[in-house]
Amino acid sequence: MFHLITIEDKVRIAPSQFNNEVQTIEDEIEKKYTSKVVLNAGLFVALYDILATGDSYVHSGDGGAHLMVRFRMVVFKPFKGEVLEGVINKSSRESIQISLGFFHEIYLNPIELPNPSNYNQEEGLWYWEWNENQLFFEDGGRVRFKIDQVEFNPEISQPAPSPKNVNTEAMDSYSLREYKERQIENENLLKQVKSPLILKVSMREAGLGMVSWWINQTDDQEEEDNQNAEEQDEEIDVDGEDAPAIEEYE
Amino acid sequence: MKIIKKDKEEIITNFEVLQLLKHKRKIEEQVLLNEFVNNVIRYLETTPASKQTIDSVKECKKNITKLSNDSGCKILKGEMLQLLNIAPSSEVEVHLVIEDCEDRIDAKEVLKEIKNSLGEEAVIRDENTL
Repeated sequence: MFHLITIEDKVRIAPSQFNNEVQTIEDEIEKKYTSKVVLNAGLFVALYDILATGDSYVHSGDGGAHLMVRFRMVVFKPFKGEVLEGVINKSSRESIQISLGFFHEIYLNPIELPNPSNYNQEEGLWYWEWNENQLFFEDGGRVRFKIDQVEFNPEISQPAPSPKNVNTEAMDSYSLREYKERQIENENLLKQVKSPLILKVSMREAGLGMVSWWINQTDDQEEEDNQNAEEQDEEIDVDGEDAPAIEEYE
Repeated sequence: MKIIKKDKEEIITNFEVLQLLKHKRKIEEQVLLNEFVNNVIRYLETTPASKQTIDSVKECKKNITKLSNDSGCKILKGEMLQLLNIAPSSEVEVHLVIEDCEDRIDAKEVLKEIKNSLGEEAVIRDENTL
């Protein structure tokens, strides 16, 4: 779930901090990366260690020193097929959103729920039909899931701010058309804005789903076995009753 | 900013991350140490990582490697990581984590090793919500 990656980056040290170099480098890096996603690497969690620093350079017009730093950091980036635990945040007919407490962009397509699963319109929850029991995926319940896809979305440029107090009536037809085109363009841009890191997950294997289903597994199994045994007994009894009836018919 | 590519991506267990973050929190002693780190710590404390120690993790890794060598297969890095992160308490969880488990290694033995080395309380999980 966490990876250690090596990164090189430029850090500026202010003149007042020259006697306190290492601490400043650490602070600057943490300030820059905290709770941000590094593209194709993962969500920054913490600075692990500093491996090396390059020479410091002073550029004209700036009293600070600039230097390259090579460091390792801990990032959150699950690998494909990894099993994680989280809490259901929100359920809807289209998807279930799961949260880890520090990361919320985890989505489950209902196709990937255990088979057969159905949606309860009144409760607004999904449930798994298992031996004629309806096992609900409750909001706030702890679930276990498998990572299907890790998706990085590069940042896209934000639309330019539109001018205030636009008087559309005073425009001639050409600028009016241009204005409308730009509005549509901006709307399309905003639609594309996605979280930089999205996880798509699945729950189709045994052991996945609500954690509470599997915790007391040994007890459940015993109960299940007992139940099956009882059912079998009943079936035999039924057979016993049926048998004479058949004889009578004959 | 440049990501230095290596042949192998290094993976790190939940336990190590938790130790690192707790250590950071201790030395900085800042109240405002960002909300994000606190959330990560809070999440990790609901996982079995909160009950592990350096010795128990080392021992668990050693024992499982030995067990896998005895049964003539190799536990992959990712699988070992997950065994430590999830600390399975039932067979179905072991099967979930280890691919083709029935052909490669005895799930019951794995469970026993985990229980022995990580300790009873590391395996039993309480139903804390985040």
